[in-house]
Amino acid sequence: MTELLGFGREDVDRISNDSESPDWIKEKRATAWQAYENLPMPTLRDEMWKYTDLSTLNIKNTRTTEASKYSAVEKFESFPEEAVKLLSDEAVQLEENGGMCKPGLLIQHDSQVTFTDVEKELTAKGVIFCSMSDAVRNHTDLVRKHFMEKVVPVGEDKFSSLNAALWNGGIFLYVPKGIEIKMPFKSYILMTDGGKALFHHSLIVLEEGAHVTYIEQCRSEDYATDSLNSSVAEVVVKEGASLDYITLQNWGNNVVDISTRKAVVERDASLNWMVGTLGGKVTRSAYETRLIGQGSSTKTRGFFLASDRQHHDFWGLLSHEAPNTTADLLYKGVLTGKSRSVFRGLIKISEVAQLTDSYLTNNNILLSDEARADSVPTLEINANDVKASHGATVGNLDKEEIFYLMSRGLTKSSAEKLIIYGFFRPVLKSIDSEILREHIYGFIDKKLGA
Amino acid sequence: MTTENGLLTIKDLKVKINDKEILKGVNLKIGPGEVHAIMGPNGTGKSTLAYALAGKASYEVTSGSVTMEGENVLDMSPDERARKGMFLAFQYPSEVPGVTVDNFLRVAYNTVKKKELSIWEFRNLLKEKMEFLKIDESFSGRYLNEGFSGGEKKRNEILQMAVLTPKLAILDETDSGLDIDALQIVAKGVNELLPEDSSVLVITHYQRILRYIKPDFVHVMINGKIVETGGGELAEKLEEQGYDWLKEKYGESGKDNNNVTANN
Repeated sequence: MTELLGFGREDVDRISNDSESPDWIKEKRATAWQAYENLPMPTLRDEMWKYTDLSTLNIKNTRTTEASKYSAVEKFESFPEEAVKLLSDEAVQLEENGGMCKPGLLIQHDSQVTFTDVEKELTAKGVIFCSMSDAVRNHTDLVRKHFMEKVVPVGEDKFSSLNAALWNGGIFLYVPKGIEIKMPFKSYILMTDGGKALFHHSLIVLEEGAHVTYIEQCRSEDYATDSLNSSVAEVVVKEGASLDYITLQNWGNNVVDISTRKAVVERDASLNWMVGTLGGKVTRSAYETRLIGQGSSTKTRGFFLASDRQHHDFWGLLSHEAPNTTADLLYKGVLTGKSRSVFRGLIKISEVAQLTDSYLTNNNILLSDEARADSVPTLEINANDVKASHGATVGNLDKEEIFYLMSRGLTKSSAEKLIIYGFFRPVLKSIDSEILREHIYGFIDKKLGA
Repeated sequence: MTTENGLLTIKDLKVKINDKEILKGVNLKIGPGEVHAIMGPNGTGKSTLAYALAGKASYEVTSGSVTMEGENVLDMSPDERARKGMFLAFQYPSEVPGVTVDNFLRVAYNTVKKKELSIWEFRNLLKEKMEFLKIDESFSGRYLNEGFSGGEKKRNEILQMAVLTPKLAILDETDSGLDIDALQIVAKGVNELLPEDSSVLVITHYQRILRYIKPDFVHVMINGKIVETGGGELAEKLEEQGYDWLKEKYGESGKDNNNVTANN
């Protein structure tokens, strides 16, 4: 097999120098590169990669962009034209809010944060929302404790090691003890060309009793050559804190996305994931949540809409490592064309995690005979006083339902759309922001209409 | 446009389900503003007629014609029929998870009436009808038929009818499973929420509902055909004497095809 990727040690050095990394980061990069080189590239023989054939990907020529390719901008209008187009909905919101990005907005062009706006009052209270490369330089003490340590340690697997060696983007969000913010922190990651390689590494730390929401959206147009986005996010939710983490991936059809997000949730803390995947060529997303503190909880609501030849591979781990923890994962997908999806989920309950409740559900609707969905939910239970269940369904739209709606005057396509919206509703209703919900419906409409 | 003095004209309609002939030549004419009732024992094809009129895909029309205001109904898709003014209150309406009653009905209303009412405008319209039908306010935010009791489903069908104000409302066993209070409310809805010139086709096994929705014509269907037609007094006669005398007169209703015609 020819090499899947074309990166070398020189890329690590270049990025180290380019981004003015502190020494401890340079060392981490070097260690990670070594780990990457030592680990074999996953194949279909690996249980974790059984359904996604990396050998068919054409991403060998993807390249990282230099750290200061784009100039920072103060105003939306100053973005390059392609970026402005991708941000049209955000621009509208911004205008409605009188130009204020409360509590904070970061825009990343390729791997570079080119726009930052954070509410001054929050900065004064110790809230940090900045690029990861600024964070490792300016907030070393806060970052170093968590960065590639316990959540996603260096050398854990092939792609996270590559990310650790070559990371050149990502955000740092730090919320001090007791701070509660209702409005969401937002970030956008934009790609405006093909042939790119993005290695974002983000870190979110919520101190005791902090409550925030973070929305991350990936967007690009379709380009002729394939790109790779391989990001890692590490999340730490400390005692009694709660985080809503919303990701909406809407890459163009040339992007291969292999991303991992992992979290540790401490005592009585909670983490809600909302995962939306609409774009990308091949998407492999891993979400792992470790409930390490008593009374901690996590909820995942996910949806995807795959069309043409899109491939979606989702992996979710609910790891109960303390008593009285609860987890609930619901993942729903609709497939058209020749698209393909795989859902793999694991509820893992350790022997100490008594009185745990855990639920794992995956439902899929196939709109075409050529689409295919696989679902593999599993349980691994080592405690005896727990409630756990998993379920999966794959089916077509119900003909009786369509007939019923049509008998009220709805056209066939409008009836189908309504049923699909209804199918997604239990997932989408967990999004508080009506603007974002409408925006997602807009994307879905566009995809279904095509 | 020829109306043939009628709203709906069914001529010699034959319908097969899974290669079995269920309707064996039905003739029926319904004029504007008229109330018709089709009665008959179970398994004679009453509900088949209702679904065939609504355009159910698995029902194969092998001969005959159906016209509404002169237009060929059989050429129309179910949604075209609805937009033309036909409405079927289902005996067993589907549950549609995640789709709220108000949102669905707003889409239906805007499509059928060619309007663009906003959520707020539509809610006012809906609220009025719901109050009339003594339906709780919370109902409109519930998912369509999901977790509804039998009575709630029936009331929901009538609510939809009241919103869409069809030219022809077909009620398929709407009375079954309703207690007397619910039945009276439903009947009141049919009598008062439809425009004067709307026609109603009540399909029922029992005469009970016809005490509240007074029919101009009563038809009896046996073995896939309408065999008797009369006025309200025919329903009363059936209530007293049952269907046996008709079965004897026109042949067995065909117990052997009960399963096939069981309204699914």
